[in-house]
Amino acid sequence: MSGSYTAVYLITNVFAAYTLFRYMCIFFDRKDVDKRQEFMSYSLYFCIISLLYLSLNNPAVNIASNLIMFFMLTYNYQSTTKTRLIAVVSTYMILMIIEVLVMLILQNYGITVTSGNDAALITGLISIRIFSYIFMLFMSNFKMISNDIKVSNIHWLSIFIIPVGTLILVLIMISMDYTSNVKETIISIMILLVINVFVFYFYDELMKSYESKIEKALLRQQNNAYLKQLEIINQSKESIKTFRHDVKNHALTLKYYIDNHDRVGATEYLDNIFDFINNSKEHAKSGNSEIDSLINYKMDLAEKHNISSEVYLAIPHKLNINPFDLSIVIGNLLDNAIEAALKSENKFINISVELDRNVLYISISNSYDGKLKLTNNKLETTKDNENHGVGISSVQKSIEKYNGTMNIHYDGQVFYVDALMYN
Amino acid sequence: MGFMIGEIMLRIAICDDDKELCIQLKSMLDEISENIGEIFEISVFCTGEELCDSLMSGNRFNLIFLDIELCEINGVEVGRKIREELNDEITQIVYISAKESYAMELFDIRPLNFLVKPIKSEKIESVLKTARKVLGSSNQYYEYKVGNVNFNVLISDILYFESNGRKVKIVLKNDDATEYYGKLSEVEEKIKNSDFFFIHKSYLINYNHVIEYTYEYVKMSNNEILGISQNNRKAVREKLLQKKQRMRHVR
Repeated sequence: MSGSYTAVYLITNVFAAYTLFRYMCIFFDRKDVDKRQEFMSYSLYFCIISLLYLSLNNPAVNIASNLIMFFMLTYNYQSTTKTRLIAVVSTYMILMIIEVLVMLILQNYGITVTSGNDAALITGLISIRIFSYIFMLFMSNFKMISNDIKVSNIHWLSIFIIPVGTLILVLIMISMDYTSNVKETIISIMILLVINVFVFYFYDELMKSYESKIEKALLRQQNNAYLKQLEIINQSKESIKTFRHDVKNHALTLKYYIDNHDRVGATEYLDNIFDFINNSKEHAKSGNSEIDSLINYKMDLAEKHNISSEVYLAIPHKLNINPFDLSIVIGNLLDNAIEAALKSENKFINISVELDRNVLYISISNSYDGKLKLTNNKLETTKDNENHGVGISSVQKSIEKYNGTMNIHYDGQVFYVDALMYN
Repeated sequence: MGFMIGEIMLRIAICDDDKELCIQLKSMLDEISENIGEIFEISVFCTGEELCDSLMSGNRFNLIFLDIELCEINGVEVGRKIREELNDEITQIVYISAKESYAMELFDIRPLNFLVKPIKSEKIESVLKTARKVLGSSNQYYEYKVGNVNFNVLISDILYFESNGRKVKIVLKNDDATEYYGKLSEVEEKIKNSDFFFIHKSYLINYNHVIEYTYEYVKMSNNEILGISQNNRKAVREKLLQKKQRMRHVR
């Protein structure tokens, strides 16, 4: 290998690393990425690949090291193993096909890249890099980011098998003697590439359908929330009705005492009423009607199940945060808290919602039976996996709307959720 | 553990026009003081005017139990006097009210807590614990050198440190500021105070002197707005949540 070839190789390899990065962007969300670490990892990739290529130049080593390092690069991003595998195999397959195609086409025009001729090698290298980049631009129309979406195994496998199969087929084709039928090989590989592009298209569509399914579930949940709100309103109307009826009766009794000049009886009766008023406990009366009604409703429910509760609310009548988002957050968190507390021995729930210097802090702690699974800061309880997941994910979505964050921790007896939203 | 802040005994004010409640609250505090073997200096005021007069004549308290519904000067106005006129972010205010609903303007005073009548002793105890946490470092000094001369500033008076070339600028309350040669990283090392954190590579701010937090910027008690850099936003958010969590676990 000559010096000029090495120089061109190194320069184009920088470009290749960048192209690879752009391919990764098609599959992964860069929102929560540490940019510096990301840059360092791609630089490291560039160094190792260049070193291995220039020192060993063994095809098997090149393929293996590329695949492994692609996979390691995906750990820059938050995703599932399934997505990582598809991304690695597809990206490698595409880059490989382009490389092979460019080589074959050049060969078809009499430029044999494998001949060891420097000019041919450099031409090949540069065209490979350029075509890889152009193809990436074309592919970036698809957004195959699927962070939160759980694809079923069989759907995933049917997508995954195609790039893997293509990769193997191409490897077989170029390892055989193809010099006598270059044109046919080119056509076959082109067809494989087209098939793969369509598979990507389907994968994209599949993701969209999964997404709409989740959205529908979310919508259903929101409708349920509205229904519950309606129920709360009806209940309070009902209690006002009872109250009106009671007032009439109380007034009649008092009138009876007064008519009979029974001052002691009247006072006693009034004391009883005061006791009753002081004892009838309203859990939340911050004046913020949406939050009050939600917490009162949920805590009444908890009380019926013998869950003791303590509520601390330090919030104004009106918040900038949309009441609907807030009720999704608090409602779902309380549902989970009640559900968990029910299974525990010493049943309790503590709620604190507090506005401090424009930041809304929500803290809920509850007793639980000590059994739960936590993966990736996402809760997984035994009950009704799909619905539960939607609950937590809609909480997270609503919190994220306000640039907020949520922390979950637990100690075997008490389960704590702390959340923050900017008002 | 008692409720002493460093060497200082906790100075507490009670301000309520309900004499009964003042007596009740004082006896609760006395009882707690006896139980933990620490002495509180407790002053009782029956009107907002009395408390204001005392503050204006230079008296300061660590903790004020302040009724919201005082006649004449009400609790909100007293709170505003403390925060805005006296520029005091350190005095902790606990509002007392018969109602559980609060007006928006109360939140501008940045109270430590709200207590609803009737007041329970356990609540007072947990409020005292939280206050002690918050007040923890209020009597510590930050020392820096200009030439060969050592200077000291009260840490609780510092709004923020700003790196300014090779100099560190200390911005203090009452529109005061000072400068010396040094590095912010050294300041962070030296100050060892969890109330200070970076919002930007050249701003180290005091949590207690922020009057408004958003994801993108903070507003300091001198009404200055400082941007939080992209890289620090998540860390700042995490810090806020952690601070609040820590406070809550004291309760």
